[in-house]
Amino acid sequence: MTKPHRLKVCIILALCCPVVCFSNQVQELKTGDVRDGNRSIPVHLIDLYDEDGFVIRPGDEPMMPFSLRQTCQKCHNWEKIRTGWHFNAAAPEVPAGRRGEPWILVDEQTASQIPVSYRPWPGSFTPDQIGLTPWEFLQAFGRHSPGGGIGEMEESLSPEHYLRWMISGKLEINCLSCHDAEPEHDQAQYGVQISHQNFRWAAAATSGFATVAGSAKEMPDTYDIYSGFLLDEPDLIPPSVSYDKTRFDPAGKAFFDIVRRIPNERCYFCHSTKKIGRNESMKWHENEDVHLAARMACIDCHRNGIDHNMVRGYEEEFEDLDNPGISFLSCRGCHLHADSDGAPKAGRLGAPLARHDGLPSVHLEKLSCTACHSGPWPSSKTVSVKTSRAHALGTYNVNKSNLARPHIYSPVFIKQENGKIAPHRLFWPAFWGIVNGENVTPVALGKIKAIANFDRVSDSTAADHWPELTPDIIVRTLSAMTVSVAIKGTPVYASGGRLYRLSDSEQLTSEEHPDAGPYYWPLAHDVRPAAQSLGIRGCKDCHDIGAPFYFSTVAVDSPLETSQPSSRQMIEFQDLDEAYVKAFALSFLFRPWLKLLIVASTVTVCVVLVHYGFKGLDNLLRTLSGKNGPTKR
Amino acid sequence: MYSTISLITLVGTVAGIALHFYLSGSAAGAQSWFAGVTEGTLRKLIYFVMLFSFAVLTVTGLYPSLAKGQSMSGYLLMVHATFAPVFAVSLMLVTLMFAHVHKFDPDDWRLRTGSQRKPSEKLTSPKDPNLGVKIWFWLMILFSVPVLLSVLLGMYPITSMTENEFLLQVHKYCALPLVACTVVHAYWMFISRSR
Repeated sequence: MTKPHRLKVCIILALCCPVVCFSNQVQELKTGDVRDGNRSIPVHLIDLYDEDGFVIRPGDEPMMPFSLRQTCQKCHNWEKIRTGWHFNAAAPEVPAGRRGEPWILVDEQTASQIPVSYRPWPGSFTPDQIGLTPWEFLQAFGRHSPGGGIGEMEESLSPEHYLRWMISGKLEINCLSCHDAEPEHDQAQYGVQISHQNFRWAAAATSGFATVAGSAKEMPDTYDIYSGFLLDEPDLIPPSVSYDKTRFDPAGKAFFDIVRRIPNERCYFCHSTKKIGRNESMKWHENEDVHLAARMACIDCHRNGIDHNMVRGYEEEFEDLDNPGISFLSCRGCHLHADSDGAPKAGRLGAPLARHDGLPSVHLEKLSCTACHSGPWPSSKTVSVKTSRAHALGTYNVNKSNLARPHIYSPVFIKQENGKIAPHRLFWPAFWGIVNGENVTPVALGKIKAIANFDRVSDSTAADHWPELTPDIIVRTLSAMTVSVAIKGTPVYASGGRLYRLSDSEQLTSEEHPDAGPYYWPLAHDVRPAAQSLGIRGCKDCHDIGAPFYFSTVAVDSPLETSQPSSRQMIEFQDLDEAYVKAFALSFLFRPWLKLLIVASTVTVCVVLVHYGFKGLDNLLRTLSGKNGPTKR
Repeated sequence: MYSTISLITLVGTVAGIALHFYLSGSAAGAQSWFAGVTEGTLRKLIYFVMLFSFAVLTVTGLYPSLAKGQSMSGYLLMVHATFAPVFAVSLMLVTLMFAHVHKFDPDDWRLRTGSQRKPSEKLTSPKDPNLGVKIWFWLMILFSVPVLLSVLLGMYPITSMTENEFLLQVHKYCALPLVACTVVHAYWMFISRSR
């Protein structure tokens, strides 16, 4: 059946089929969503379908990439799945919950690094605010996404990129990103295909039995994916897919090695962190999270139902989501004694119960569990780290330089909204923006580049160095922004926690401003074993003059060389009285003496009590027996 | 609940003392027993140090609960921890110096119809406190033991956090009768007349 004929059939079927009530599709559970109780995994020897819903058979011309939406929704409720946490960032009705790691848009030319997120996390900016269309967002960050979300939303089809969307196709949810247990699964191919704008082919490219060639990016706007025929440019290679025919059985079905217990390596592709800098380590020096070393899987804690709303695992999550049923999926849920319905619930999955010998309970009110148990052991300076999503780890031709931007620091102990101090990862945004009232918002990078000339910025923008940004360049750029009709508001440059602006006399001034402050997000991994938790060596791990928990230095990252301090003390992020913390730490010097004095006093008092107690008892007994006469004075 | 109980304890203690003072008549002309029993500047000084440190501990310990409904923290906690060893040492010295004077003797147990000594009667010896003073003294010493022991055990990694929380409750709730006994004993020491 040729493609034009398929199109006609589609139109006819669409007109003849009854309209399916959309509201029922979300609630409807399909055969694969309801378990019969058998714990083995169904064998996924299934028909493949393309995005139009036509079955794929070896020998088809043209050969189309399989659509996981069409293929998987035969047995699974796709509409329910696409509401999951990994796919719902752009859905406005979804609670954002605790802030998390944003996407970081880095632009060397303008010396910018901007936290971007569709979720309204404080300190981040939406793609709209910085002039990123969904198309551009996917190009920049789709490499470390599982597809879906804006990749398949109708609202993403902006007029200026409409024809490109038609050629590239939608970036559907790639179920294989997580559920494919096949060793040949190559998630890095996802980023390659996205860079070629081969959205329709990206999921197939990651599988172990499909090979994708060509580039939708190079195709003209008039290219037709069904005909595959280019009129004037025979040298261009259109996107195409070929399958390993040996993976199809005689009935034309293909095998997917699908698992429920997702391998940790699937999660690691997007959620890896590498320590660099002073504590740069070789892989074989590092130890995994203690839970994974105990043969647990990520999904043992980060669970979900068919709705794919993965549990993030922080303490207040069940309150944020109004779902008390997930309260057991947290540190406390497994490690601290908690009864429910009259039955003990702690110790789940063999979790050791946390006795916390000698630890006053006030610590659990002031600190998160991760403060003592997660991340690198605090040292005199924070450690630099690279993350999968910020630094494109795991992709082909990744920049492996230890100084590649953005520069992220960890652990930084910060007081959260819930009042507890927890370790975070932190970076210092840098961007050109405008002040409207009290808020600062970035100006779109394209707009900035059109207004100001950044040619003088050093070309030595090897990705491990900031470009050379002098005060003169900032003054010149801010002046250009001031006179530009495209800029409404006071132009500023935010960097290193400070806001730079021009005074009335065209002098560069700076001030600390919350909107120029660092962006930070809590870390929970890697969890260290109990023998490496803070406090294991006594109270002085934290309550000591100079203890890293309070007094470690946090680097301030900025492209601008100024006289401002290039570091800050950890305690500045904790909303604590530094004098009190130091005085309290000092008191621990005398704690052994305190113990000694109380021991001496208690022993003495007890001895006296016992001594005179027996004497008094003796007198009482004598009196009762009538052997005591009047006391002689 | 703790703030309610502590409020009741404080109010009850003060009310009892006030009532007793009113009913026992004017103290004019009566020699304070304290002046007699605490011979020597050192003994007086130690007793006052104990009372003062105990007052600081009481205020720092009860104020957050009564005034704010919160646990003790911050600078109050540091002051509390600073005066704790002072109280412990002074209490130990007071125990050693005053125990013999407060020991019970057969006269304390003898029940004589119509001739039972009354607090208003003069003591034949200024070194002979009445039974009430002795009882309050030994109760004060008795309640100080769990108060000291509970905080001492909590400073070593031998009890779990749950057990530590129990020790904290012991410390808080045993401190209340300690407050009452100390205040009443001090009242008897300074106000009550000699036999």
